[in-house]
Amino acid sequence: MKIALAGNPNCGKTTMFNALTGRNERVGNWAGVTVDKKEACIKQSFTPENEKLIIVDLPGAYSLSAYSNEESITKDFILKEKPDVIVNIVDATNLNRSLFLTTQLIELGIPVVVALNKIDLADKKGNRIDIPALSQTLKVPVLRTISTKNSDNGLPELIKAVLAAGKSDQIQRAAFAKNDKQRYTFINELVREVERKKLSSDQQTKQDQIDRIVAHKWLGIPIFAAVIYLVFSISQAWVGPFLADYFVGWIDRLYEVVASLLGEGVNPVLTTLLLDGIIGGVGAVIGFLPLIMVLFFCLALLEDCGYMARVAVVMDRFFKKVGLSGKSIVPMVIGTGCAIPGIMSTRTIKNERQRRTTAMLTPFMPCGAKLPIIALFAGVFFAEKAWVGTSMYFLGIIVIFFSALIIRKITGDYSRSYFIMELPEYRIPSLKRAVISMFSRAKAFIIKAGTIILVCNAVIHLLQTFDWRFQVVPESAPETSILASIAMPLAVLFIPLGFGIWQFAAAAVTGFIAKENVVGTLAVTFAITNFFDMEEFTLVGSSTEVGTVLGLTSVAALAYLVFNLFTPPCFAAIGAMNSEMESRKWLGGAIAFQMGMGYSLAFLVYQFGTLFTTGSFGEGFAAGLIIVFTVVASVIILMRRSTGRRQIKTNVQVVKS
Amino acid sequence: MSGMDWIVAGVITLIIFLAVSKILKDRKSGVKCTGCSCAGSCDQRATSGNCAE
Repeated sequence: MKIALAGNPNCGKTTMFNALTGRNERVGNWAGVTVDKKEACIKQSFTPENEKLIIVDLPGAYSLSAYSNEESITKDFILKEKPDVIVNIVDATNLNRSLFLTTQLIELGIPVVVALNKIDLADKKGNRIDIPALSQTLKVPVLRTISTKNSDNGLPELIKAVLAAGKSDQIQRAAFAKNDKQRYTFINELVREVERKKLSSDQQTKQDQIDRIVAHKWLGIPIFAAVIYLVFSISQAWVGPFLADYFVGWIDRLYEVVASLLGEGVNPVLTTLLLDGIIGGVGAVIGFLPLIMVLFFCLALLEDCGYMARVAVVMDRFFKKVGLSGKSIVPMVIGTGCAIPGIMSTRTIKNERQRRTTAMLTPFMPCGAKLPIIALFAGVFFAEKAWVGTSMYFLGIIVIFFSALIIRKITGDYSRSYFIMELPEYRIPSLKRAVISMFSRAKAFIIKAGTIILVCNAVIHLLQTFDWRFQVVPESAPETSILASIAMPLAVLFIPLGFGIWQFAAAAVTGFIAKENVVGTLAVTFAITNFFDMEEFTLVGSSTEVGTVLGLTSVAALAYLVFNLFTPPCFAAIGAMNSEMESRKWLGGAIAFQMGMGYSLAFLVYQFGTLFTTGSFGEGFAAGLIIVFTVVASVIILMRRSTGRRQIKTNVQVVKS
Repeated sequence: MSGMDWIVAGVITLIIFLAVSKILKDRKSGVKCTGCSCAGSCDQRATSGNCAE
């Protein structure tokens, strides 16, 4: 039996889907988190007779009229695939808005069961809903559900009702007015009859009062900056490193145990491959796990309490000015976890140019994979770590803003769209959901470290161990290795950026496979097994000492960080860009644009940073200036060509008229 | 190569083999990025669940 979960955005469909199936799909306290349908089997505990029930989670829809792409997915699934039963999830705190879709679903002739979800919130507000009366009028079963609760949540009763409705031959169908206006009148009257609302103007005013400050057009930005700074302080300065110290201690112990087991007698190539290439390389990346877990825990709390939806509202007015809309913020916020789902969620944007631009710019927001790079360079080179992460987020927003402006000029599409977002109510964030989100990210991070990062580190180590005649490279001449000979020509290009060192060039290239590889490759090439160890590679040492080990100045380290954050994302994210953009021309342009942006920004950071700190420009200034000038000139030519095309179009229109 | 060398080489090969086979298995089942932190949202299996599996 196939059961579809349908309802308005943010009514709790995915939360119910997760509760019924045991899956761990992304949920969020705002509309538009689910953009595609998802299927899974129901947990056996809900079907004592072991019946085969497939649950389909559909994107939120206000009606079957399909005004947006995700509403089309819902409409198409219900109308074409005809599920056996539809569970219509109705937000009990907002009956008026939810029942329009309910009436449309009932008319389809498919058995419908209404789940009055978030009933606990309605109860808390003092609202009373006459469920038997509602059920009688709609002629469908109506049940109370609280998907967020583990027990006494009404879900077993819901599944019982679903099974009964699915097996019943008789479908009672209520008739509703065809005219939308009359239908709304009917719904309003029905809600007046069945719902007793306790009007609490105080509570409304409190929510509004908070919004007046948090979502204020000017105050909203410094508040957002302060919140992100606090999140980075907690994750990378206060709690994160404290936990990382313990965690890295375990990795060190593993390293020591394996080293003692191997002893002196084993071939040194094999010993170093296992110890430095595999355990050391993977361990260096895994060492950042506690910092990442704390960061995602904090971000999940922010999202769950309803704050991130306000950030979208604050940013909307700025993004509108550069040809994007508030809808573009949703992929960018999702992209802070991982660029791939962020890019995938751009499909909710109807305007093609806006969708492609958003897919192109979403990777500029630092994703989870880039966090170890931020944490490494912030921790190693800068005493005050939290500002580095915060400034990278804000630099990402500024870069997105200017890039959108440039792309709008290049494409010549000045169309504007409007963003309406239903703001979720503020609520106390769920620790359980934050912990689940944190562990799911941690699991993904460990899997990635144990697969892609491990294989890359092993390959990098082998390439560094041998020369082209497959002879072991002497310790005194690492530049004769295969890796060095491949990376050196690339390193020349990076001299104007301050990091013309082959190890850094190799790390930047492996970063395209997975961004965490940057840290792993640096660990392997510099033979550093952990970036937290006070003796081996001190975090408390001055940046000059650390710079001597790596051969970098603090300014060059910042330029390297900027380069890695703003050049194209990993191959998997580029694949997602390809499928969402549906244009090879746009994809090629996006990669070239990201490459040019990363290089130019790193050049500016290094050269002007060096000028500011030493009084003169850094090495390779003239060569770098030529490259950056070529990038800027290409962009200007493209923008002017588009302006020319537009003028010709306008002239043709004038002549025609 | 001594006996111990062969054992260590075998362990390294096994570790790399397991990692590569996990990546290939994920590719086959439609997962675009092994272990990316998208929390399953790019997992193709999520859109084609089958109780029989």
